[in-house]
Amino acid sequence: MKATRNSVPVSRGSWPRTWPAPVALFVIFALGVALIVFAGDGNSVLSHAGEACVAISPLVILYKFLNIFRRNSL
Amino acid sequence: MQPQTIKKLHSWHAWSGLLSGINIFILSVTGAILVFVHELHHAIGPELPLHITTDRPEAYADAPLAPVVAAMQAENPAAVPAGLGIPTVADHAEDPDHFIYFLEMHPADDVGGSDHDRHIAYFFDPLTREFAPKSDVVDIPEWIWYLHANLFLGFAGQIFLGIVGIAFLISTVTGLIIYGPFMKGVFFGALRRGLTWRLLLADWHKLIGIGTLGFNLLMAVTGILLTLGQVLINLYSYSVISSLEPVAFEEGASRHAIVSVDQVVATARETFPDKNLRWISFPGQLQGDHHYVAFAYEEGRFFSRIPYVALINAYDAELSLTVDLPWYITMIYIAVPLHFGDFGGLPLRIVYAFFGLSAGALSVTGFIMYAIKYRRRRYEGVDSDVANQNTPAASRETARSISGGLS
Repeated sequence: MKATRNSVPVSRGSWPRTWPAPVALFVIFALGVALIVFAGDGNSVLSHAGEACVAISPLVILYKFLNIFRRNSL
Repeated sequence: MQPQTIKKLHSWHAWSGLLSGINIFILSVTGAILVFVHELHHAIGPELPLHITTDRPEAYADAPLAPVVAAMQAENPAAVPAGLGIPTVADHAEDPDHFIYFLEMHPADDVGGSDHDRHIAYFFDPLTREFAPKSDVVDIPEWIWYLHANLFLGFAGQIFLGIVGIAFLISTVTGLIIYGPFMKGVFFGALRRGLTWRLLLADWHKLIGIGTLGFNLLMAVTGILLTLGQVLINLYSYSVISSLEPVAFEEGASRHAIVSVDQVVATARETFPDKNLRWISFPGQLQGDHHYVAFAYEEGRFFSRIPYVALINAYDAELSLTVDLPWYITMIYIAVPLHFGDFGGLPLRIVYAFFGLSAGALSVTGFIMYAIKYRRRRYEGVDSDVANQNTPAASRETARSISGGLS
């Protein structure tokens, strides 16, 4: 891995580096929805685990967003 | 993937996004607000004109409803009862303020109840026989609800939003497919700073889009189900009604000959003893002139949205039919909590609101990116941004191979 002049971490031609995170987020989200639907009544441990899974994707975006302010620059 | 294929998919992505963008933005903002609809009603909703103050909601189980329905009908002789809402003990436990009976009336000449502006609604207490019309004060949460559900255009608006949902689904799926080629060799979430606004917006667009992919797919599919699904529900209702034996009633019998709603409630409770009876639809609605329809529900937050339906003969209060909903109708009802996120606690609803705004952010960033590109093409005749678009070496190669300036 190296940094380009635009500070984008690059790994030459390696598609797998693009996909694991999005796929993991999608699988976790889908698992969360499945747990919530399976749990049914909305108050069980399974349901809360599902809610936690669903909450992970936006946290990643929120982290990147907050990082802007940490660096104090867009 | 061939460059021409990617270009074609990008074109689908851009046009489906542009066509649905403004509506998706409205749906995104109103949806994020509607996630907190109960809190909104408490904060800024109009005060209910009538409250039932009781510590024993069970005492209302056998309360006679027909006398007070007749009194409301007498006050509006040109209207007929259309639906009656029955609160449950669980409603009282959740919020005593909303333990209230509700009667909706339609003008007698409004067949099918499509003229919403002329509907009359009453809240009532069957024990004290007090009733009060719904307040005329603008109900802001309800206003937002209608904007989200049908753009104030009734059934036509619902169908239009279904088409918007399909465009949003196309935009989401094509966005996923072209995400790979544009992110080839780039780490997830990479944001290129210090170049152009368009590139930064493009990176944010990709990050938000891929990060909320599951949610946006869920919203698109459940949104389509909830809008276009109404057509399925109507068709299914007609098929159920047409499958019934013709009701025997005397020629010329008027609607005044129908049994009282209390007899219907008794039959419905007998039919669904372990369910909560919540709604009675009067003859003259979707089910035709000869039946009441009773809707009962289970306890709970998720599967409690799937109704147990019984058609009850309007002339003798006998059970005509209990409806076993087919899977595709059940899916429509399951889509409701999945779409609105109201099946979990406050943390889940906050997550839903955050996710919900993401679709609006995608619309805005997508539109700005398109506008910048359009302006550049129009005034400069070139799309010099393409080569810089995917600056990492591996993806720059991809960008070069895709002519026409994709984002």
